[in-house]
Amino acid sequence: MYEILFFSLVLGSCYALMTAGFNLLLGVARIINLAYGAYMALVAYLYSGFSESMPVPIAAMLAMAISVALGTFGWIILRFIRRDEVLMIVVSLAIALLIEGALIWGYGPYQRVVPALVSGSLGWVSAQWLLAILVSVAVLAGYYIIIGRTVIGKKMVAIAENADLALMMGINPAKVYLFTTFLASLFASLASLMISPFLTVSPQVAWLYLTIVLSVSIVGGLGSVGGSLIAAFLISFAERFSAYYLDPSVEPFVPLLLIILVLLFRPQGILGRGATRWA
Amino acid sequence: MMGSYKPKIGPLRMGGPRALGDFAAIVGIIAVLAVVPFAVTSSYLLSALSMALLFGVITATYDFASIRTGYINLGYTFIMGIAGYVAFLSTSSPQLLALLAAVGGALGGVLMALPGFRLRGPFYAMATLIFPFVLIVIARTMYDVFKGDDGVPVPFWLPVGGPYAYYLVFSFAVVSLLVLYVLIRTRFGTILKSMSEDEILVESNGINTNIIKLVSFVIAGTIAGISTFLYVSLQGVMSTAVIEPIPLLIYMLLACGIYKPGGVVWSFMGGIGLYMFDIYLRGATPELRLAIISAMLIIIYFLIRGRHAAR
Repeated sequence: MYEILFFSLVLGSCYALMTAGFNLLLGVARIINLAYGAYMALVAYLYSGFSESMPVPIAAMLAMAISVALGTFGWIILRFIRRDEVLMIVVSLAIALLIEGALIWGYGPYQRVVPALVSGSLGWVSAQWLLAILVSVAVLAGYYIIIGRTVIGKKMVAIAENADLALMMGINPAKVYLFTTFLASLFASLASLMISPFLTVSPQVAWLYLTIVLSVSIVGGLGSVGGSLIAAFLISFAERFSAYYLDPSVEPFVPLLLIILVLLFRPQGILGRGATRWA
Repeated sequence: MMGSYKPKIGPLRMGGPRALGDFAAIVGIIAVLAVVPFAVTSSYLLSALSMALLFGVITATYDFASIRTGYINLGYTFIMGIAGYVAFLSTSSPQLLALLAAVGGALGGVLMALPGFRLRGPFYAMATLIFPFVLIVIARTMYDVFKGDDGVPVPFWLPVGGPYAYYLVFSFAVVSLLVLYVLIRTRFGTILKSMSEDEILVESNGINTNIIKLVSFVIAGTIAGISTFLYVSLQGVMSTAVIEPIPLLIYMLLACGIYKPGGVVWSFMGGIGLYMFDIYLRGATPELRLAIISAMLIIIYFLIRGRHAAR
């Protein structure tokens, strides 16, 4: 029972971290990024590849440095076409397919084991589990400190609320968007390093990541980081407990059921704000 | 705002050179497709053409319910998944299979229409994209029931590769195409088209657009469900490959953007052409195939931007 509780917490933390980046892009920069899952898969592959020739911590840092740099400047491309959401969806799907193709070309279509960042355990608790929770809590707490206590954070909120008004107040949106894409890339990279060791990854894992991100985002509210936090733990706990108390075969139905319920009774999601939506 | 919807279909309108062009195209396509078995002797090619015809029908239904209304649905293959699993997990009788696939397709259509009651634009697109992905996860996780990527074996009832199977599929495709063609020429079809232009204006005329969306998706889902039943019967197995939104959805989007959006005849032809192109691509390496498909995605935008860019 304690193991189930703890594992729900671990996966919930990872879900929250990965979805926070997606919703940050959507909420602040108005970027719909369906290549987000492919980007996470790319991070997992880079880390896994580097770890074959160098120590794990260095491999993780190198993979993060490359991917965050790629993401920070790469997602800005989508920003240029922000006025056309359909184009953004189409282009980001194309980028996802290109990344998937690149992974197949570079690493082959086979499954791959991603090494854990830390080995060993504390009693029955795996050290990787503990690390996943600690990193997620630290990063998300850091995010809320940035948003609430720093100038750049307040600028991000201002742009999310009303970009035109923020521009009139003298806020430079380009810098804010760059910082937003940096944070989102950081979240995605860290989430990938935390969750990938629990899985056996293949190039198609990109779509699994995207499924999780979209499920949590729809339940929590598209563009809402706070909502995604709640939804991440809701889905994670609901999955594990339904499997434990009902039947393991029920587990995969839980996200679908939650999505249908949310779309029926609160289509904007738990913390989504329908009135401020831009479409 | 949400007035009562008058459930009259209205008179059929056939006027205009564009309509005549479409009608001539239908007659031409039917004539060409009818003589295919006399010209094609390869059973493999005949079987591939039969599947392409069915994919063309599914694309036409997608055009009818999604593209025509302006509600870009990225999870349309979910309807095929629901129809296929509902039918092939329940019975082995061909007649019952067709009926259950139609019911499953209609149910899938209802589920696809529901998010559209409150969501629009990219939010609707993203909300619908999640459905096939979750269904794939379910099919893989509950392997005992759905058989994951291996798929549920289909009872043999259709001699694949012969003229009998082809003409069965051909007849179904002709009837489906005519039904969709007639529907878009009625008042109902005009309302669907108007919704993509200005939904609020349509509502202000006392039309309940939610009912319109629901009915259009149920009609499209029912036809797509029967198409899926035939498609899976030809393929021999109901697996996650039928639900995979990539690349099927990309072909649908591309086909619907060919010539003019919202024209089911051209979507049908585009669907056939792109499905045959996909069969040709299967010989290429996976990475090359993905690169070609992603390039197609960029083309899609330029084909449909005039209609949907502002949404």
